[in-house]
Amino acid sequence: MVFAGQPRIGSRGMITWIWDLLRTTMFTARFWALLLVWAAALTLSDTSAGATLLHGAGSTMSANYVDASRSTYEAKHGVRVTYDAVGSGEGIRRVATGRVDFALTDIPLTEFELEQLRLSQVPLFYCGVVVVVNLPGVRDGELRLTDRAVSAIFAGEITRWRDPEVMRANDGVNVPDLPILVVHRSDTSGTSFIFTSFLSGASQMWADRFGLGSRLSWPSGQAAAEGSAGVRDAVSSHTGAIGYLEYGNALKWGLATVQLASGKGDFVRASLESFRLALTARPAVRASHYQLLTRSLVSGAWPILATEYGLIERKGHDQHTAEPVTRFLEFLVSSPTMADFQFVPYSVRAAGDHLE
Amino acid sequence: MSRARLIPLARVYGARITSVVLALLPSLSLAAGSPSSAPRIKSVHELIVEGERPEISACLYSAQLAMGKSHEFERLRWPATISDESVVQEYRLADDWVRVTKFEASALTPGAGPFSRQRWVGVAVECQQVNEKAPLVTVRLKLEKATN
Repeated sequence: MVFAGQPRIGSRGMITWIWDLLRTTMFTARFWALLLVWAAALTLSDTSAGATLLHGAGSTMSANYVDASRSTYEAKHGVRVTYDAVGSGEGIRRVATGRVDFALTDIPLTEFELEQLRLSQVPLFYCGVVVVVNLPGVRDGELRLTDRAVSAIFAGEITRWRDPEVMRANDGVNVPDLPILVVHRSDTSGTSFIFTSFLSGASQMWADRFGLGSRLSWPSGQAAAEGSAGVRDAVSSHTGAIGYLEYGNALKWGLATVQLASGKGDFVRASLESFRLALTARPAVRASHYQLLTRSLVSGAWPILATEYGLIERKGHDQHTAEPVTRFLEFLVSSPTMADFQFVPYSVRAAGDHLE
Repeated sequence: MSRARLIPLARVYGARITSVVLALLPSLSLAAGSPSSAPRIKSVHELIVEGERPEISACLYSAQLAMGKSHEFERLRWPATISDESVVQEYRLADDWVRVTKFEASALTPGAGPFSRQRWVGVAVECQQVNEKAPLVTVRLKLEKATN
């Protein structure tokens, strides 16, 4: 099409014009600079296509285990894995928006939520959630807290350690006369989800006022800390503090744990053995593997157990990353170092308990 | 200024004022309590991306859908603190798993006639999710506190 005012160029004239244009631009510095940048970009993209790189994010509970596993995995399989310990809630956000290839979460999603988000949920392992305290003179596993005491402390109804409700179960324990500082998570946390699920089962008052949640309207006057490391810092730096953490982290960081009552009412110490006992009475699961393992009705069973899940995109997921992600999650499930982190593998029996 | 110059000026500014009023009309009518268009429903995905608690997102989504089927209410809006303030409970009833989510919000009532005014009223929303399926929603008018 020729517009008014535009000179007419014949087919021969057009070729000459294009050649002149190329010849003049080819010898400019800008042309060669652009060519160099383009070649470098091509080379880099070829390199990244050769070595697989997986990005994950989520639960701070399993961050140490993932950190230890990914270097072994990279050495064995040549797949580099990065993991941002940003909390389960943020992990769900990132995998739902395709910002990461997988998320690790201990906030279980229901079938409806998974369908809406187009995600698959893969159970990986179990870990115990424990109550930790900073009380001078009180040893690890020495203090006992009844269901009523632990829920009233976190609800802000018991404010001093020598409260009669606390002392009733701690005859002979040198409990100091200190005010209680409750530390809870400020981020959207799977550990909060499991712990408040336990509190809801332990106390009707808690269930009615606060319920269970990855984030809550906690009573005023409490300390809010981000991530498991934030809880560790807040509890260890305040005498009289109480918080909740994943058991492996509590052990690693040398924080004193508390005995809690099983669903049968007997006091139990946190240990791999008491975690395994809790699994013997777990309810059957549906296809999503959604389950909350709190207050197991088995004597000697630990009352707060979290299930760690892997979340991956359903159909439409990039095939180049779908298989390596699945393999990495399989590696996490089967790694022999899992027990060092006080995790219990998700057993075949539990996976076979499907209702559907 | 002569009358001859004032008349075209008045015409120009008059047209501009009219266009501004027309542009503001939807917002003005919304402020008076009458929606100008159908509300956009936020998906579970959007709600989670916006930072709502994952475990309440299904209920928030279903509650918006329920407004479309309701004769009593047209639209739902909730406070920015909804994720902190909603209460979630879970229990087992025989072989069924049940999750109950409760929160307080405001709902827009439909106008009864062409001259009746719509208004936002306080409501209590309850979702019941059985065996991980889509939540069933109940919306009730919140009882106003009696004042003397």
